[in-house]
Amino acid sequence: MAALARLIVLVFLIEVMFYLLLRIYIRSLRRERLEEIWDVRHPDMAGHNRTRDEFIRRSMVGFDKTLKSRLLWLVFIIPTLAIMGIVYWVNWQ
Amino acid sequence: MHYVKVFFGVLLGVVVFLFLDYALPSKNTVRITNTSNRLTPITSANAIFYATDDAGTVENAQGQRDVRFIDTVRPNGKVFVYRNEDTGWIWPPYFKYDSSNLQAEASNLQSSKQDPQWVSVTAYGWRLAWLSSYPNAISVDTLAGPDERPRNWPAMIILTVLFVFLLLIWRMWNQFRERTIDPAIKSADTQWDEAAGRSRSFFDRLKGKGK
Repeated sequence: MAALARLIVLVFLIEVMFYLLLRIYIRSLRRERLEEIWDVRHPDMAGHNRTRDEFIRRSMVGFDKTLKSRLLWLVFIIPTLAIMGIVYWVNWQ
Repeated sequence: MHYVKVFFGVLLGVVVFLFLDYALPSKNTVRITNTSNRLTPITSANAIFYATDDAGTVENAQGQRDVRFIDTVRPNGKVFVYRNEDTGWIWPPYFKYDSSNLQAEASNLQSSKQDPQWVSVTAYGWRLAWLSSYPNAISVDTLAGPDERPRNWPAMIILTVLFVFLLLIWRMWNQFRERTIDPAIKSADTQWDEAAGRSRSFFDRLKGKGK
């Protein structure tokens, strides 16, 4: 049982790590996209400046509620299901 | 420098290949001739090829384990010996704990040369005679004949997942470099140039120049 507990803790920690890394990644992608949107809309105020930063800050407010951000929780679900699937196929087939 | 890079690149490729070759499941068409268990010495040299201590197998004071074995013959007449051991919960991640059932199945599928029953044994690991290492059998499936070679779907799926994973990590790293590292280097460069400019003028002033 100790081995099983160790596996659960280890898998959970790896999943947390990947959740955080992927969260940083998709937020970075979105921020880059917003910068491009701003530069297309305001060619006169393109590039790094305070107005654009404010626009991006306000646009990112609801990001955690979007579908993409919620799908990120699959990082916890898919590997766990995969491990359960392996346990089933190896031992009960 | 170029040759050093090539050398380490090739080395990395070989290590990755050997690792996958060892850990991924492989299927072999064989005929089971015998199943047995015997006390097997686990030394420090070959311990890496056996299950971890806490996986359910009991080791005695002399470092011997009662390991189950499945003796088989391949269609070309060469023999192949599998071990049948629980893997436990960590490594390699097969999470196998039905060795007793597998051994019973294998015993049930024993057959003679005259009336062969061909089976496909899924296993991982290497048979290295000089280290007494045996591939660990995972499952047994019956086949119609010796020419049947079932497709190794599990290994293909795992390789695909690993490839997608690699691609994702590569893209994440690129994004991180483009958005975080490169701007940091750029701003550090600018600051350095400014500092260098200042210090130069400082020394110039010291020498009484630059006015």
